[in-house]
Amino acid sequence: MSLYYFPLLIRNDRYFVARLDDDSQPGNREELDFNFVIYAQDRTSTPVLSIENLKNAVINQMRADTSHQDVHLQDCELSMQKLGNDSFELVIKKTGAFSCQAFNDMESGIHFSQHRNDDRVFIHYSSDKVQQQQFYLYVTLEVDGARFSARFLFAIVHSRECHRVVIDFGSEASQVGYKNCHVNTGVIQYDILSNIINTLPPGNWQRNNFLNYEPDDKFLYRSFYAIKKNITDDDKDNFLFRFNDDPLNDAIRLFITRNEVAAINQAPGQSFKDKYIIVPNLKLGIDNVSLHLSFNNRPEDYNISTHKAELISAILLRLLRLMIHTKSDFRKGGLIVTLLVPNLYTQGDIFSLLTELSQQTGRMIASLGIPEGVLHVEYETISESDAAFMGYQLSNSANLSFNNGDISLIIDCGKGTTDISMVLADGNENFSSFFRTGFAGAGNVLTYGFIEDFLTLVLKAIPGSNDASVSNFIKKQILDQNLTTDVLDFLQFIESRKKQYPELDRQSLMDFMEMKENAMNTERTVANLHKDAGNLLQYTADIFKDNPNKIWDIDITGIIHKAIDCICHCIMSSIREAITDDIRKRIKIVILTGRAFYFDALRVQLTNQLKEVLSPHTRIPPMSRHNVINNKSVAIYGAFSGAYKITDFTGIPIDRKEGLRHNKALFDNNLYLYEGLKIQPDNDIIYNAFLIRRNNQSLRRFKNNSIDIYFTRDHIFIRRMENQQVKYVISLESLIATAPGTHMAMQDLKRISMFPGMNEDIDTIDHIHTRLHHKEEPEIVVTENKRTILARLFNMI
Amino acid sequence: MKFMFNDGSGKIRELSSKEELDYYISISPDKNKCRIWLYRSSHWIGYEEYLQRAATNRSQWNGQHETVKPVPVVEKIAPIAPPPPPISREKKSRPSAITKPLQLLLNICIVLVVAGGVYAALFYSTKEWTDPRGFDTVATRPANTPPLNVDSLIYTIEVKEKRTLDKLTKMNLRLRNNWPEKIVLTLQGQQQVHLKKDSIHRFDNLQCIVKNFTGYTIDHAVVTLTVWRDGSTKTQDTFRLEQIDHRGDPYTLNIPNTYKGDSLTIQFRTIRSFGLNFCYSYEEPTISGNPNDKWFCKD
Repeated sequence: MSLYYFPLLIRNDRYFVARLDDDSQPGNREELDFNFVIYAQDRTSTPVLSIENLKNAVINQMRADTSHQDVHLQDCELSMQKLGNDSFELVIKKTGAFSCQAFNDMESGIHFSQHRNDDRVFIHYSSDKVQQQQFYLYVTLEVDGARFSARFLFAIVHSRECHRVVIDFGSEASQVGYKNCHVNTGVIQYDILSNIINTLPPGNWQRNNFLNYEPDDKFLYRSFYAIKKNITDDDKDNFLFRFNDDPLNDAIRLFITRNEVAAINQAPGQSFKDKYIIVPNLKLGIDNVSLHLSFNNRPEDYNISTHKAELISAILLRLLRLMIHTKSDFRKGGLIVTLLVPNLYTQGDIFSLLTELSQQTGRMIASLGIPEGVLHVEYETISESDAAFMGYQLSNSANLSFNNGDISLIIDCGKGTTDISMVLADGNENFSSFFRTGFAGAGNVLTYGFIEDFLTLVLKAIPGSNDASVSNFIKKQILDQNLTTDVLDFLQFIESRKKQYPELDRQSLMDFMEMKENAMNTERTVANLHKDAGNLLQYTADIFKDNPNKIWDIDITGIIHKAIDCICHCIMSSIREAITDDIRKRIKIVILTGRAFYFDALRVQLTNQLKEVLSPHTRIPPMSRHNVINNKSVAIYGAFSGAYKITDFTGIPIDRKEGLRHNKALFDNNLYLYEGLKIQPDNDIIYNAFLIRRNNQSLRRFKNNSIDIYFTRDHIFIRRMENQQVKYVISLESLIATAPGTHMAMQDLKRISMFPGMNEDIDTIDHIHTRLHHKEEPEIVVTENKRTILARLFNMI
Repeated sequence: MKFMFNDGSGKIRELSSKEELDYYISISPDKNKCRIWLYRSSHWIGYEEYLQRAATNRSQWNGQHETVKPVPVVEKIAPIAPPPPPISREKKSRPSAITKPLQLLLNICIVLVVAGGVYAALFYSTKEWTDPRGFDTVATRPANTPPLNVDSLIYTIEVKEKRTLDKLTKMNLRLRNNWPEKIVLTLQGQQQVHLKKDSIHRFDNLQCIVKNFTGYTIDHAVVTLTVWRDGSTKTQDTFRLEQIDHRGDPYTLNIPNTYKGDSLTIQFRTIRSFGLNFCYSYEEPTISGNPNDKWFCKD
């Protein structure tokens, strides 16, 4: 059974690799692959779908056990036909010679033609007056009597009634921006929390009474959600998608108030924590734990990992529902929703997320009373760091110029995750993101460092003894308390120290010990805090309320420096494998974005390390905190930029010996394909901080042969040709292994990044730092030896 | 390189150079109790570990330009302080200089003196005194610190100041007002009764024991031991106690003296705890002048 893949350009800004599967199999033909929204203007031709580079375009066959082979578009006849009132078919028929038959349907405004100058064919829409409509489009390949197709749903809407929405679904904080597709307006940021409050029943709702409140930015929304524990619903599989207008009792709560988590005097079973489980956003992304739910009074473990797509979709759809509910403009026409996702989400995660979103959107729209066919929603995802690059490019275009082959390295270090991308320029303002990686660990690690630093001083240094354990204290007094008011106040106090650190007055230990409240008759000093562990958090917050401009000497323990070391280590380990000589020469600029870089010590240390690895002359410009487009908002602004061909997937392995030098497909801006990689012992293939194992048995058949790697939305294929026939195809994902030196540290930082939403023991930064220097460094030496052994083994096979 | 130093008493010093640290180590009474905190570390280390680290990091710790220069005295004293292990070895090697006949003579003399002493003691005691038996007495609550209902006192203060006192302040207030319940002074030893004059007692092997339940270190205290004879004070001895810790075993002071009299009593004369903000004096009705918190004081 053959299987074909073929890249298509949707509108003029989205690459989509279509999967053409065999029509003879039941259900394949009618299966809807994806839906798109096309915004058009009156009396203007609007591209719907294009096939570019006709002379060289190839439809790739990905099965080794069939007689079908790749199909060159130059051997095909292209035509279009109308199948019914709302259905068209683009037929690509292998005839041995190229031809394109134009098609015009005046009734619907759909046309198909070839554009010889641009070397492309395209389906476009034009009409004197744009009529909102939807139609199905089959893209069908006919080869030797067999038919392979994909089915898409296109909605044509007037650009006036179409909006682009960007949801920065950050691991710690989210933000939403939107703009109309018709006029060139600026990005409007959407205040999520205020709009949630507006949908609540009348009451004394204060912004700062919500856990979702971010003190210094009203457009940032702290990602705290809660899932109902006891579900009484017949439709168990879809309980997350039962949308209603009662936000206080929804299956997923988008908000949690401080009063709810602090309430302790309620009857058993009546408190918020009895009814809901609080789930921080990051946990949705990476954690492999179960929620203990009850379905119709039957307890059940609800695994987060296996239901990740449903959980995230349910939250995103609720956010979208909130927007549609509160903005009347959004209730008809089209929405193109771009989701910014951290790089730690795998390609599979993103694919299943998009599928789930598409499937459940109809239910969400129907819950708002909007009739079918009135509002169309298309989803796409983009990496946070790619978006950050686009945002930076947008705001600094005057200072940036890229030649063909120049690379930008982007490191987006936010609150919960660090995302890293390498973006290649083609000299025509087109950019391809060929390397993406990321890990859970960023600003939160610094926050945890501040907590550990403070507690080490208070519990160990000041009492003059090592008796107290900081880890135990954190476990008992913070994690086990499950977000009480004291814990939240303490965390807020720590966050304030971190944010204001450069402006604060650093105290010697003696002065710090004597610090107390400005009240008569109180002896509550920092020096006494260790005597009453149960109230330490509360007293600390109280003392620092009266001493807002002071901080302790962070050099006494050095834990914050160690936290910075850990983050820098993980970042450098993530990119070290990928920085070949070729890539090193190509990197012209390093862009540091994300909130964590507001902490100057981290930015400076990372800058120094990057300059050591790259070149002392590499540009690493700082980003101003006070610009409209700053470290926090750069990604959301960037996602609106049209200067980029967005791909939902990432790909392109790096040849350790050659870098990117011989990868012609990449320089042709073809992220779908990596051509001609030779599998040889000393030639490491690196794919997004992963190494592809060279000595794996699965690769034996590829030894000393050139292979091609294909990056599709749902799979990564390694393919070997022999006599122009597909000989072998295997999955690349089964062959990748973690690059040495990064895994342990990243795992440790992941656990810290979950803080305080994790109820397990968390290791101290002090220990992690010690391990980094005593365990992982020798591993690099071991790896070098291992490489030689592996090379020998490989030759023996 | 910067350090923090704790000589075992709980009092922390910030030191900006190794020379300063070595000076404080050299003047500390018990080096094994010393604790050192190296900057950019997260725990205290003992003296032995410090020596090891100092040896391995010598160039690093000494090579850096210190921001605070050591005072001249420090520089003089620091090199004099030798590490403890070599001293003990030197002391052991000294007797080898004494000749063997002289040592033999010395041993005979010691045995004779000890035997004579034991014989004399046994002969005398069996003659004059009863067999020794245990004796102990606890210091009574002083008149200037009567029992107080601190709950009522706290309520009064809170009403007056229109605010709730925090837990720590309340706790310290309780401790200072009812300190005799938290700082327990005991005198233990042996007593013998004179066989002929049974009113005369002999007290020896005495130990002054302080149990500190305050949770704070008592920096120093003075106790008075009084010998009573015929209803009046015969003699009074005072002893100064330093660094009475609240952790571990009770503080014990061995009193080598032997006393004769009807009975012994013991009493705190003064107590000072910086952590508790506490100054007590037997002679004074109050230190602070505040009747609600008579023994509150600050530096």
